[in-house]
Amino acid sequence: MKVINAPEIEYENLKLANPPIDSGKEWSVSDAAAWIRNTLIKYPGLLYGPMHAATFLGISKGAFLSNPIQEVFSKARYSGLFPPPDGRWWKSRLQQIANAMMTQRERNLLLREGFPMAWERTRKTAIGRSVCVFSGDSPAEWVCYILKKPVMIKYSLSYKPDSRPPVMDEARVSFEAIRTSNEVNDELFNPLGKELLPEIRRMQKARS
Amino acid sequence: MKIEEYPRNLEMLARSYITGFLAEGSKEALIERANQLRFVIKNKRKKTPATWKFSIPLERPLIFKMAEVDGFRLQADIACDIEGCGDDISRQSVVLRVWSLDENVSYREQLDAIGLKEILESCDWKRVMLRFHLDRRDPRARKLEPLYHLQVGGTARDEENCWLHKSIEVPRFHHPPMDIVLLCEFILVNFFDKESENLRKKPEWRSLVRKSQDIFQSNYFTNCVNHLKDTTSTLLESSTINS
Repeated sequence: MKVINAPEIEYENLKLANPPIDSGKEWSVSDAAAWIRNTLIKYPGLLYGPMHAATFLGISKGAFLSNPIQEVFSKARYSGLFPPPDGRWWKSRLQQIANAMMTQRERNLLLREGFPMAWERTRKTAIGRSVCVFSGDSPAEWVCYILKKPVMIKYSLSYKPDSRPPVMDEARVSFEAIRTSNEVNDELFNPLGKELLPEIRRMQKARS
Repeated sequence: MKIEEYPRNLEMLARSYITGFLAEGSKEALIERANQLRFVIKNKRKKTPATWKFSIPLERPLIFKMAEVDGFRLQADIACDIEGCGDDISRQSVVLRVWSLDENVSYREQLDAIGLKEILESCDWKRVMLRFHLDRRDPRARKLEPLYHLQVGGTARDEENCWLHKSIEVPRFHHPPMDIVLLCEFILVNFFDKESENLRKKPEWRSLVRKSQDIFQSNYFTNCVNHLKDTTSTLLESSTINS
């Protein structure tokens, strides 16, 4: 846990992410390195890249990467081994820091609704929201696996492109990607999702 | 036939959608029963429409995790007995029980017998406080009752120490038929509102629920609309006598 500088609150979740440890044994360096790179950093869930972090907070990626926001969330930034160039942030620390800024009324809302309100209240400046790539509505709750853009859960389908541990966020593909992208592999949807594909492909874009 | 899809829908329900809301062992039990149903439907399908039965007995119900609702620790479970031939449903009986896990709710000093206190204490204060039957009328029933109805109470098992009286069998409210999938949606909304919010937005989940609506409720609502158009009768009367 020290080499990845994990928050204590994440210890249980980290254990569920299949780290290469047998009880009572030491980590092998190469296995640990592979796990950090190919699981912890690769899949969103415990650590978030800029797009996932922004969507988690209900704001746009541009807003998340702006200096004022980066200053506030600097303590959430991953500082362990193999930090990727685009950065990673601990989800739990993002939540902690955002919660501390929010009033009780804002905390009663979902984080992605309450945090932008709190920011605008305290900084007296508007902040860009996470906008769904299909509908144009906000806040979008997820990130499309194919387009890497925010999408609302109701406009996306579950996708199984890899064998990520269940503790990580599931991959979801936006209706927009299903309609427009050649990268979508129909075989990777579950049977219920697969049945919905023809209907989604016939849909007009929801944005008015 | 719509019913051929049903075992797969039940398996998807257990594996992909409600796992996180079920108590230990319930997921596996539901999958096992879905597989039994698949086997029955598959083996009979070729000749005539399959006669099938899907049952989750009260002795081994589908148990949800404990939920905290308005400060009360509650646990819901469901059991069912559904039978049909092809897409036609001939018997439908679904039971929803709401257990209290709180001493103060389960045992009321001024109302309950002292002997009950010991019994409840020995089973961690688990007691059925609410109990609902969502049934299709039994063809042998003597009383007037809507074809599909909701009854509060019903015949409780001894270990439930049910708060409601066993023998009062009325009233029976006109109510749409329910199955396990529809009742799971109902439980998520009522007991796990926030926790299930993301799940309930998913198109696949909505599609799963719509499939059960289609199998179990579409004829019911079509009949209701027809009864509403019938200027010589009332909805309750039509569903009670003519259905």
